[in-house]
Amino acid sequence: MSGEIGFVANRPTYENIVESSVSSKRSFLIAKPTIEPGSWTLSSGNAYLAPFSKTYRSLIRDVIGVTVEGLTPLARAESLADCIATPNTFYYDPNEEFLGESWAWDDGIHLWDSANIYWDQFPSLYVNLGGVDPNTLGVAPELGFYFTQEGQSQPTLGVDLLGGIGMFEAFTASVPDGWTYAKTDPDVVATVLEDNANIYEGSASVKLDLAGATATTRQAISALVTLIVGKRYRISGSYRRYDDQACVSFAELSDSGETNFLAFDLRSSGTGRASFIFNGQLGEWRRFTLDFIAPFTASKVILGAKWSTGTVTGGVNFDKITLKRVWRQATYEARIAADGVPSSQMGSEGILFAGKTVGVGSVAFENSDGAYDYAVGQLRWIGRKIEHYVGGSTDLGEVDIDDWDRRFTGIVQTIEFSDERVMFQLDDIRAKFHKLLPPNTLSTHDANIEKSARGRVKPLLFGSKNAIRPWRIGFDSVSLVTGEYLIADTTNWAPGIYSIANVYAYVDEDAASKVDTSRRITMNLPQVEVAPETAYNGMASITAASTYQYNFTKIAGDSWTNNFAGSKLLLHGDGHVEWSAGGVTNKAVIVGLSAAHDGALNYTDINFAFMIQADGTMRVYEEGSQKATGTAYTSVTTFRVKRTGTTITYEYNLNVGGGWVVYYTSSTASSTALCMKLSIYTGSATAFAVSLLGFGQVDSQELSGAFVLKENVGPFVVDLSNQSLNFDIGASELTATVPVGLYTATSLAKTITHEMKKGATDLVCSYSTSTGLYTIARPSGTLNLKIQSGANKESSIWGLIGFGRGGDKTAASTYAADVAVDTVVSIDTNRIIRCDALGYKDDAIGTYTGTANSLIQIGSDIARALIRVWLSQPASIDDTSFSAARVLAPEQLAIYLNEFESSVGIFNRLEASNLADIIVGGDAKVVYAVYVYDGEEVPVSRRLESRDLLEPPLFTRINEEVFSAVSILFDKRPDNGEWRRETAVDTSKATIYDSQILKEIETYVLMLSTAESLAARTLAISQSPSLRVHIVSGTRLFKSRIGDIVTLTLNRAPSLTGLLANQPFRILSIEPDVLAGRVTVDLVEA
Amino acid sequence: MWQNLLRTATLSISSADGSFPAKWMLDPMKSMVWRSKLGWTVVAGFNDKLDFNLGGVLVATIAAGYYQTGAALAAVVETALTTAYATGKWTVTYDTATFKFTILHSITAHVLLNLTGANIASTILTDLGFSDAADSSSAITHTSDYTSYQSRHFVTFDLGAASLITAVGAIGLQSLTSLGSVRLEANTAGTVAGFQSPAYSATKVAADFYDDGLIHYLSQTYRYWRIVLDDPSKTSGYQQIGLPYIGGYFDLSVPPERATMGHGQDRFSRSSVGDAGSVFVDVRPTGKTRNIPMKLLTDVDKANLETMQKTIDQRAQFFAFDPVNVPAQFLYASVVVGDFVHHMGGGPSSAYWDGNITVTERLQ
Repeated sequence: MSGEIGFVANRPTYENIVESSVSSKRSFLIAKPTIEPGSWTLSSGNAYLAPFSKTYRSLIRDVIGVTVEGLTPLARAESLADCIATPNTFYYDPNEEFLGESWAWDDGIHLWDSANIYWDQFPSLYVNLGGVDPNTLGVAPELGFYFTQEGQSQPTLGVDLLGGIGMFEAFTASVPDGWTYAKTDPDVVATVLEDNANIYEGSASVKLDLAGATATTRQAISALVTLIVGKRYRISGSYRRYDDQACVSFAELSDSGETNFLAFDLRSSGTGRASFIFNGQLGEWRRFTLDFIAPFTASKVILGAKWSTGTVTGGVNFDKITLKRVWRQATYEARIAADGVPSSQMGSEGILFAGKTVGVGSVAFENSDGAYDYAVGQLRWIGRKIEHYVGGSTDLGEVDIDDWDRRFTGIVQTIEFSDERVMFQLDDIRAKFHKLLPPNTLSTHDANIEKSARGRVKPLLFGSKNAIRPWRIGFDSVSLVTGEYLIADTTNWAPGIYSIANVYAYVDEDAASKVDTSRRITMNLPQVEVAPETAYNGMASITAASTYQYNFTKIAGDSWTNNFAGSKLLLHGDGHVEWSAGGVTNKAVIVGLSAAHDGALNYTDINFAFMIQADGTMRVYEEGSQKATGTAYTSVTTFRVKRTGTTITYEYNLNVGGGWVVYYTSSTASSTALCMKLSIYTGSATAFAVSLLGFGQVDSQELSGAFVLKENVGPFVVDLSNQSLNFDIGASELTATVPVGLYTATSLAKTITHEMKKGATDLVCSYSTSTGLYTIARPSGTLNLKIQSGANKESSIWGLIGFGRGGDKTAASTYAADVAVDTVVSIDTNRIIRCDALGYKDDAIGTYTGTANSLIQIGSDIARALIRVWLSQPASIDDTSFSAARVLAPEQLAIYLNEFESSVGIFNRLEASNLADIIVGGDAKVVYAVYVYDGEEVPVSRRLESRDLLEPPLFTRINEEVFSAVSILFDKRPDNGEWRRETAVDTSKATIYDSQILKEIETYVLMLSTAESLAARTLAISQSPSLRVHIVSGTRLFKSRIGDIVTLTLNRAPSLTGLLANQPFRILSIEPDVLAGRVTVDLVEA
Repeated sequence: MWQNLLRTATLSISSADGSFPAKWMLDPMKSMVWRSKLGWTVVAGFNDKLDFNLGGVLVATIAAGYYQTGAALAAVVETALTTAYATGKWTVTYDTATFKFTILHSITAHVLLNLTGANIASTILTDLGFSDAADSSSAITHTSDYTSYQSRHFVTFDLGAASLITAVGAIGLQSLTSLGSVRLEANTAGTVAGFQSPAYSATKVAADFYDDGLIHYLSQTYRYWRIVLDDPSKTSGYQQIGLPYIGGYFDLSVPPERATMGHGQDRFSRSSVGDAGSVFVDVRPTGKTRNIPMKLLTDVDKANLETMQKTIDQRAQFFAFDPVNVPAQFLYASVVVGDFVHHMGGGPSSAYWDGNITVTERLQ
């Protein structure tokens, strides 16, 4: 038995057990069944309580965890006050002391008593869900059951109250972060040093070096922590004395002022310093534990080194220091039989990466005495965790619980109950990672969803993907036409997707399949500033001022009505038109946004217009009505007419790079589609640097992973056979020729207008989104459409825009088409839409990529997001390996999932893409280990010689693992599932081994260069039969895992030299058997 | 010894750590122990009186309760002394360097009646570390003779009816300091007050231990039994019992055949021999085994052994082994009796049997 308060130093480390050929290794099982608590009542603040007292084996069981539906497991609050103050915590103290000499209780209503004195007092479980009523959620308290091979008591520890600073991973000015450094003799001793050479865990330890000290002196680091007086705690950690026995290392606990100290009885305090002295072999890491009853609230943990005699040459390292609440002393019952704990096994499916097999099997505990009948019968065990730890002892003593190795976490699949024992069939915690993704599906009965998409999955998108075929899931609620298209499901992902790069409308499926750029229209995206394509007249030139700006220069002399330009693009939501004074202040130009498609021949025809005048001042006009005037502008002033929501503002920016000033805010609300219109008054003058920004045909909605098409995007195909339009205005026949190309419905109308204006300047062609009808009109006077009699009737456009060819249109000035053209209905199935998009975006603190709001596209970052969010295992990330993998495997990957796929399959492809092993560790942490071995030195513990082997090694070379070529399949197209392929071949090797098998590997690689590299690396592994070794070692490889490198030194081997001398091998599979002290390992040449 | 009457007894204890309930004393698994609370527990009638003479014999009554630290206990002792004698100022302290209590009266020298006090049966002075060999000298200040990390603790067993007890034992005990003792008491009344003058009492010290257990033979008939764990100097701050035994025993009428008696060990350690001759050992504890051949067992012996087997089967028993010229041993073990063979082959001497007893220590 153990478990008393006390101080023990010179304890062995877990490594000592592993590396010692004579030690005691013990299995410890912690089972965590659950049972529903009763109803919850509000206690205080957001904390609810439920009476909870489950007694099994004569002991009120501790609640060691609480899981809540949809939340990460709750943290255990140190006190009820902490629980009340802190969301997502629970509080439970089964040893709670009550008033009175003994416990007694009734039903919680004061039937037998009138006050809260005796009867109603029994332990309660408190939870704080941040305001959520736990009665509305599933809440599962986990009870602790403990088993081992030899009965003993071990503490149940809480979280590290030092918050991880005892790992000594970060230093500032040579002092570990979170600690204060003090020394009594600054002239003699060296200062605290970060030690990267002597490490217990992580990448650094702290070193207190007394070298040179000749008199009483000490140096120490200290950290403040808040404890609860009278409660039990444990400080544990690793230390390493070095060089000199005269350097004494110690620990102390004091109040915050170092006035009173924890006494040697470990529960009192006194004014004298009580130093708990560490001993142990110089140069070796040892462990210490200090169990105590807290005498202070504001407490200080002090670790130090002090002089004892002579001239000191050494010092002490500290690492992995923790301070934890001891919630209870748990008695581990001696109920595990010899075959009660299986070896856990994990293996690769071959010498290549991708795919793992896992075996955990079953655990059992003896129950011949029936002691656990009630516990098994009354509690919920299925689906709950059983954790397996390994500890033990050497001649030095017992490994403390903080240094135990967590071998595996099993999920109970089956309970077998017999008179003799209770057996649990387990699956690895990886069972939690077996899930079909994507998790959400589209409605099967929503009439607004295209039929082919109903019931299908809502896709997931990571990284950059082109040619996505989005699902039509609704329609634009404003225009009630066209559609809403889903790219990626953001149900579980609040930050949304990074961006929509392009949206295309293809002429037909064949064009989409071939990605025929000549047969598609590229939609305008709201975040992209564009130079406005226009229908215009009276312009001498339209030139590009930049990649997104046009200069418009008029031909004729001074007049508002002899020139015009109007954008083909409509702004459907927020957006603006922007332009510049262009270096002069003596020209008159008007630019604005207008609801009418075109036809403006005067400044009075623009709904919202910003005018600059030749006198150097600016004005605002709305349909000819002056709204603001008189403010001067400069030659570098830029101007905007901007719509935000339904509000139009007029803004100017006097200096390049300066701030925008709102000049006037319109009192007229605007919600309809607007186009840009401009007119130039001054002869031969120019409207400079005109650009548009805002929601055009596409209203992108990154937060919801979707976009909305605002117009009938067609495309309408105009070619040589249908580009002509004959008409007259009472005189000779005129011909308008529409340039060959693809048009949206609106842009076609505007282009026809533009071409007709070349013959008659007041003609307008328009398209109605509500009726689908084109209309050609003249404000007044004669207009005849020569549909049947026109000179170009064989190549006329009439059919395309819905005019019947039965006869000319005469005797009116306005003609609507005979039939609707390509009418858009709420369920639009005519448009062939594809898009390019960048997938899920990181959150504002960079949880997944390390960079806020960035694109998640690196393998380990994608895996992290999948595990945390879609697999709901947020606590399962081994942050160290995932962060390292971000650097070691930085290749861009891209995943588009629009069919159900097992998460295991996804991880397999990630492994193949990064040459990595994704391993679920015994502590239920997922490790992302990228294979990058390049001859680095292997730790001593993994250098094996024949004396370390329990059985003769077995060498194999396998023909099935030899491939003539390796094809990396990458960048799978979302719309048709076609892979790109990059193949690496070595014909000479293939000839030698007569290999004819092509190995295809499916990956999420995006770039060709990555695929080339991957193919070459994979071929190098598989072009010749690798030497495999099957070994059975002692316990030295207990802590190793798949992908680790070990070296073998053997005096017989089928190698070039007939032996192996420190030959590196990579672990393919590993099966540690704790009780037998054996580790069975399959290795392959590294 | 298999007739442990405690299985149906009612327990009452001075205190229990919430992680080690008293009922665990009744669990046959040795490692399931009862453990007292850390520190000092004052129970009225057991250790709540302090007799002293200050101008006359006085007694202070300390408030019953649990005191985790010496300072907390010192405070209530001081309060009790002040109540008993209010003139001047009492100061009671606990020195966290020496772990002794000091009782100081600001004015008057006084005598602590460690030995002759009227309430010595329920004195707290023992718990405070004062020797009970003699009353103190008269002085203003008294510092306890011994260190004190905890109070005395007790467990009382109510057998339900007066029963003849011939053997009392316990295993899973902590070792005693040189000052410590385990006292067995029996009485007709089961109250704390009743046990102030028990009808029967026997004391065991460290030298009486065999491993972590004690055994005591007697012949007393009482309903109430109490074990008092008296070792305030024990630094662990608590006491524990794995499994107590109060019941009967039977003694075989003949000694074992010493010539062929075997003392063995269950060696649970496992070892593997490596490819190159290296040895890997998983060290495990070793249990004692005893193989005891018996000759000329009487019919009574045979009947007793058969009854034992029939009654408890493979469950562990307390087994005392005390043959002549062999060191006494006391094991918690399973005792298995082999077949009985008629020693003489029949006839008038059929009352004599040969048999074999196998004893295997239960480590857990």
